[in-house]
Amino acid sequence: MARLDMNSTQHLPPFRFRRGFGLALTAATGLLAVASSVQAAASPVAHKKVPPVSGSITVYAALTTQGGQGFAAAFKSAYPGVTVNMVTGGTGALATQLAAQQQSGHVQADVVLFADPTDMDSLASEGILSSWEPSLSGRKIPPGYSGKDWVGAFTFEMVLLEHPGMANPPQSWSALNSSALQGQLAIGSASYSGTTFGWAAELHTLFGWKYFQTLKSNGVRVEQSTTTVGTDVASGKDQVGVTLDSVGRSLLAQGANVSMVWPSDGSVPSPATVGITKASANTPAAKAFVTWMLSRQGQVEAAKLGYDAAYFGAKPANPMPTHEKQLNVSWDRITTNKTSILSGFAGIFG
Amino acid sequence: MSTAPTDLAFGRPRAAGRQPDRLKIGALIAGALVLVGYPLLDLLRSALSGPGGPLGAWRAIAAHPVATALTHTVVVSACATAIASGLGVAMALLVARSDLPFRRWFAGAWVAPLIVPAYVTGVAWLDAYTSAGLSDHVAHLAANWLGGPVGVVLLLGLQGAPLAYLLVLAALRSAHIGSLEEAARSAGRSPFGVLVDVTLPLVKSAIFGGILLVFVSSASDFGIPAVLAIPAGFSTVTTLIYSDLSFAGGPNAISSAGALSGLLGVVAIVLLIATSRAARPRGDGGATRSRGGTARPLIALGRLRPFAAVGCLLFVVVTTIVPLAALFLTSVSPAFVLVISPAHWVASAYAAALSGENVAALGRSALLAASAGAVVALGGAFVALLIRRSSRLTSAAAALLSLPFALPGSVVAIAVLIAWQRWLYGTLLIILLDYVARFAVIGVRTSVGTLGALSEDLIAAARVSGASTRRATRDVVFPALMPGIVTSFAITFLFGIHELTMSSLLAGPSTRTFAVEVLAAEEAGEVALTAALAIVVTVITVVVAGAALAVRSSRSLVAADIGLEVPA
Repeated sequence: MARLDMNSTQHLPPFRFRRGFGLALTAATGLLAVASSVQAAASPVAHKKVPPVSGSITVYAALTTQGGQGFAAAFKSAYPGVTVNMVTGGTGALATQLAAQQQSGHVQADVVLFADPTDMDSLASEGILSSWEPSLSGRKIPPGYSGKDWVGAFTFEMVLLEHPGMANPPQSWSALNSSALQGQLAIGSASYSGTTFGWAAELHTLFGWKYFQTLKSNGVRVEQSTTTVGTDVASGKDQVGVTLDSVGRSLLAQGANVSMVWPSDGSVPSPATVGITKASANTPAAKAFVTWMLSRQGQVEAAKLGYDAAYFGAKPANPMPTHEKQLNVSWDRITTNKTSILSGFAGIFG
Repeated sequence: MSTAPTDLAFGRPRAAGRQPDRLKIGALIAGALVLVGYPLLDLLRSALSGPGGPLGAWRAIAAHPVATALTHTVVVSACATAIASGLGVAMALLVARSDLPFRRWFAGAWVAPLIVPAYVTGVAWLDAYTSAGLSDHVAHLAANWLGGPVGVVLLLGLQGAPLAYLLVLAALRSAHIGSLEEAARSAGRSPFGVLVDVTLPLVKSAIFGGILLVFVSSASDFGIPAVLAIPAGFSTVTTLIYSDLSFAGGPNAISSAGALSGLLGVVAIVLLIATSRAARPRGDGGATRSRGGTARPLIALGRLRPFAAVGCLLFVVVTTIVPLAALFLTSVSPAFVLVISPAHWVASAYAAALSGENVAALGRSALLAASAGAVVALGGAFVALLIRRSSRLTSAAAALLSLPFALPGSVVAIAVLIAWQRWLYGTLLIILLDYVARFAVIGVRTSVGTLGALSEDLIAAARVSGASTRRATRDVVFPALMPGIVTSFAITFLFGIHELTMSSLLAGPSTRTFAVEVLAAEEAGEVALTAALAIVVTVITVVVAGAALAVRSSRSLVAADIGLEVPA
């Protein structure tokens, strides 16, 4: 059972520190403490003194290769003395590897970044995560973005992605089980993609299993990752897909012929959760990575990579329109019912 | 992604006149126990002593849809075997007994699917024939049913056909079958009568060997079901073990996969013992081989010749060329939409495929495959020399070494993982141990086959002429062994480069092989990158296989002596 949150990234120019040096000074004096645009904030926080950390760290991240490498490169610019070994893959695969390493006494990760808070809770209860928590002072913490041994860094939103040319493109989750979409819809797998798990859990609460049974009888294709769903919509293999906003942004940035639709009944958010391991051999650098990711600079980088940053108001391209509805996901309830939700999903889709 | 030997027994000792070298025999037995005995026993121990003991193991198994996955595996493999055997026999007859034009060319073209890794075949067919694929692009034809059980059956069948074909072809080329056919025809039998009453009965044990080989190879294949069946929610045994270990999460994932693997290992060993007698070749291969049966073609196609040739060509085009072309187009198309015009092709996917971590993975794959090849080839020669003059114990150790090749790759990998993870988790060494354990039989069988062809008289002659044992070994036996060593190195190297089933279970974050990178890219939905990686691995295997086949002795050994002709 598990999850992967594949969040593609845009191909954007590398971070440049010298641009807007004056603005950086302004930021340093605290005048820009709140909301700044990506462009404004992209300027920076120059690091005049060498950060007091070095060596290498291994980051296990449930991101695409490009997403992971994007963060690694940006962090490296800020902390040239630290080498980041970015290991990306499915949340479940990474969680399983960590569990196996814990058994053999050789946990190899220093930092863990997963998409689904229920997985981080599992890691915490298995004693893999350190209880260290970064300071989030001065930041408005969204509800549900701080758990045992982890914090939320940015947000994945489940949205609709559509191939152009449909007669009546669906505008909501409830419209997806129309028979008019027979054979035209793709979703991810709840046992593979963490964000799809959150989406399935939330829609199960709203509509019950009957909704999914109708999707099944309408011939929905169940891909593994949300990225596969996105690329299949882009290629025209499917007309509509349930995927992540970051996947949509990445596809749009690459020139794909798709449109991103914010469902009228509400997008489904999942926090990207980050923490460090107890076994980290380079705790200072691991802490620096997490602290950086939650800093203004890290948040701006997340936005540049197409993610919806949690702090400092950094916005990605094609941000969520302010008037759109966002569902309020109850992760506590989902954690309690996780097994039954996953087996219910697997019972319908195999 | 595997093949299996058709029997487990090795030849009895040939010359027992010499005092066996105890040290060497001890080394062989220790090697067999470390490589195979310990991991398999530890797998059983772990399965039975996990949380809750044997009952807990049973509960872990019962909690899985094991029965469904087993049923799927058996049904899919049986259907694939039927397709593969039918095609294989037809191909062999067309090549060896008909007047089909260009049959020598087809003889080679039909083996091509073996060179392409199974998972690449899966990806290529999806790119070629499903929605938004090449056929859809060109002719608005999309076979979306390929992504599901029917597609798995079809592709496993096509992948298995060359196995059956090679075995039957080798039997058909035996000289004594040709002369029997000729005799029957001279006695006035019709060509059809000869085919039914003489040819087919004489090659039936080759056909049966092919059936067994294709069935076991299909049942333990992971690449094709991983690409076609996992997204369709259709589980097989190999995908179930992979999903368990890769996505199940939690601390019990390994012990649960261990319980499942233990059960499957026991089932496979029982089946193997039950069938190994029946599957043993019964001499229809013959010691003498000829290029091509009778002087007159048994199957005279007459006016159908051009149509048959076009039909065969279409088969090659549809099953091999179009999928690979679609794979290539996918790898060079920008913005996710297939582009046929070269003017709009982009190389960005290749830049990504050949950068950073992927190049490192390619290096790891090459290193693992070459190391496994060297150990298997040299170890195999060592074992063959010992078997030649030693005891039942040596044969038993050699038989133990051959066991992992007959077991599903997933079972071997889980056994190796459980046995060695305490010390070697996430290292290349654990993957190497696994490759060597699984492929050891290639080296042993090849060298045993090579030495089998070496006349005892030659050695005796050397001794009589005054050569010492050491000298006779160096001057007579080693040169005879060399072709076998080269062949087993090449085959093991190819198997290693192709290997996905075991690597996907054993690779750690910093030890991913190239095949694992292809699977990861495919799972992550990186379409162009997957295609580019698949093209790269295909080109490498074609080059290596071409080089290996260029060695004439390799070709004859592959086809004739070891019965393990191919990577799967």
